[in-house]
Amino acid sequence: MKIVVKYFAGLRDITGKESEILEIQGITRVSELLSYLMRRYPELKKASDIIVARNRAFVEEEAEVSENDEIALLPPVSGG
Amino acid sequence: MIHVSIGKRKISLEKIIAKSPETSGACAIFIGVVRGREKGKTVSTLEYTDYREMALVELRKIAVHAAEKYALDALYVHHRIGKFKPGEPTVYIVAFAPHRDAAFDACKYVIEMIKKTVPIWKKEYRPDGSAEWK
Repeated sequence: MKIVVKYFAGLRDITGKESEILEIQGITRVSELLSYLMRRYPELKKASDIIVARNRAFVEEEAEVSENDEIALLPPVSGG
Repeated sequence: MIHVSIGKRKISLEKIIAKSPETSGACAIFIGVVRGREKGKTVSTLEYTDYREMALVELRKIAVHAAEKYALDALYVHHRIGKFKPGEPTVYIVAFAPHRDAAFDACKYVIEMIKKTVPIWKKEYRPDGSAEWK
C-alpha cells in the first residue's frame, strides 16, 4: 500500500524531510503507522503530542489508513 | 460575507472598512503582533509555517461558525506566514456586526480557535542565534 506522509514544524527537523512516499505492508491504522514511523525515526518518540491528519482532516489513532492517503504528522499548533 | 486567507502579505484594513456592510453598526478588529520579549528573553524574529491546504480548511470552518454564532454581517481573517520582526502584524480578524458585543466576541472566539485547531506553527529566533519551535 502506497501512502504519502508529510511532516511539519519541529517534526520536519527530526525526520529531515517535508514529505515522503511510503510503501507499507500490514499497516491498517494510524496507531500502527505511528509505531512504524517511530521505529524509522526514533527521535519522534521524544516529540510530545503528535497530532495526525488524514487527507487534511484531524483523525484519532484508531482511524484507518488506506491506499493513497495523505497522512500528516503535526506538532501541537501554535498560530495566532 | 466571509473571507479567509493565508500568506506573506499584509492586508489593507482601510479597504476592508470601506466595504462596511449597510446593516453593521460595529467593526471590531483584532491584530496579533510579534512580541519582542517572551518569558524574559528577547525575540529577534518569529517565523510562521503552515500546512496550507489544511490550514485554509480549518480557518474557513472557524470563520463560518463564528459568522453564524455571532450573526455577523461580514468577517475577514488573514494569517500571515513568513518571518516577522517584533511589532509586525501576524494575524488580522475583522468582524462586522449590527452591534459591538457580537463584533468583539467574534474576534475573541476566532483568535482562540485559531490557536487551537489551525495547523500553523511558529519558531522563535533570539539574538544569540538560538531558535525554538513554540
